[in-house]
Amino acid sequence: MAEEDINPNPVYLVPELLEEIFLRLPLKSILKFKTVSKQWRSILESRRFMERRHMMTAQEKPKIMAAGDRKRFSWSFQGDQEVEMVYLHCDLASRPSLSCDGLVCIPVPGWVNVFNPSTGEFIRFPSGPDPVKADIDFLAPLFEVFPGFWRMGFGRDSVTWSYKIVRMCFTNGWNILRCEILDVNIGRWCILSPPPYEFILTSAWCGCF
Amino acid sequence: MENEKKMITLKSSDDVTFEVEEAVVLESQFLSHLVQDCPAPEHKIKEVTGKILSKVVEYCEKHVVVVVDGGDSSSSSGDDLKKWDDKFIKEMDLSTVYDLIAAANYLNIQALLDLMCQRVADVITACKDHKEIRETLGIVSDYTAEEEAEVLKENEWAFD
Repeated sequence: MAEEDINPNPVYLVPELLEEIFLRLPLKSILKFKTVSKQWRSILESRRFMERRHMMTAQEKPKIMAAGDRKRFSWSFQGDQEVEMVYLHCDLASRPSLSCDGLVCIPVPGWVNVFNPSTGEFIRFPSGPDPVKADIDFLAPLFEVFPGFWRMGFGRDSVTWSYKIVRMCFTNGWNILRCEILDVNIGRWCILSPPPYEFILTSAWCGCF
Repeated sequence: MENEKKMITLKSSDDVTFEVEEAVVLESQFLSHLVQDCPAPEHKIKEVTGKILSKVVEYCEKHVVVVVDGGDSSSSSGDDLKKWDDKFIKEMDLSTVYDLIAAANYLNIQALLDLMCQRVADVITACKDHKEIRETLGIVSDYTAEEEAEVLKENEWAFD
């Protein structure tokens, strides 16, 4: 930008108060206006801001996400004063899904999808090779909650604050065959061996962590 | 007189004085603590100028009166107050709005802080792109052209 474009009377507000203003912006503006300046971007992307905004929006009206064929939504409920509807035009969510902080994680054969219904952001990660089939208990096909007989969990790491997908696979004798974790910001499965904690298997999948 | 309202004098950084009722002062968390802890008749507020303090006093006086008068919190008094708030901020320039945000934050007057921040948020939301925001708010971009293009690309999907 040329020198003469600089505003002769810049008005200044300390970052803490800019943050107060930003908390009142709709989501779309937040995404759009990271390009205003580095200062704006660093506030809008800060963990503190995101946490505060998350707390504010958590008090707003609940959102319900419905997924399915686009044609079936033409007559559907569009939300009212108490509930906001978000429609996902695909049949992915007919599968078991996981969620955390309003993000939805939907594992499908070959891929794990992570979706943010508020922004429309959608990322998918390749599942990578599934465990060797011979080691899996084939007695109960219904036992396959997630593709590849994985037990999965989706949650936010309280230390790094990033969202992670964890998956485990067991042998017939309930020993852990494999345990892997994927950081959504990195997008690569890392093998955890051995798992860093004790666990008790109480259901078909691992919970959020 | 026992019924007489207690008056308190506020003095701005540039020594402009305002005589207000105690109830008005209590709108500010900061001042109510100050008045409780230090029962002097006059309080100097070094961080706020006379111009801004007069706005703060005007706002607090209006809000105290409505709360007292509309004891049954009828909706009409709420609507009137909202109309008054709209008018209050309408002709204010940006630097006054910013100064009022800083003052409301310092004096801890949540309703005034909310009103002013929402006002700026509305201005920002109404802008169609980052260039318009920079112009409106007098912000000088510290991005290089390459950096700007990169950030723009990253957030491209939000612009449709």
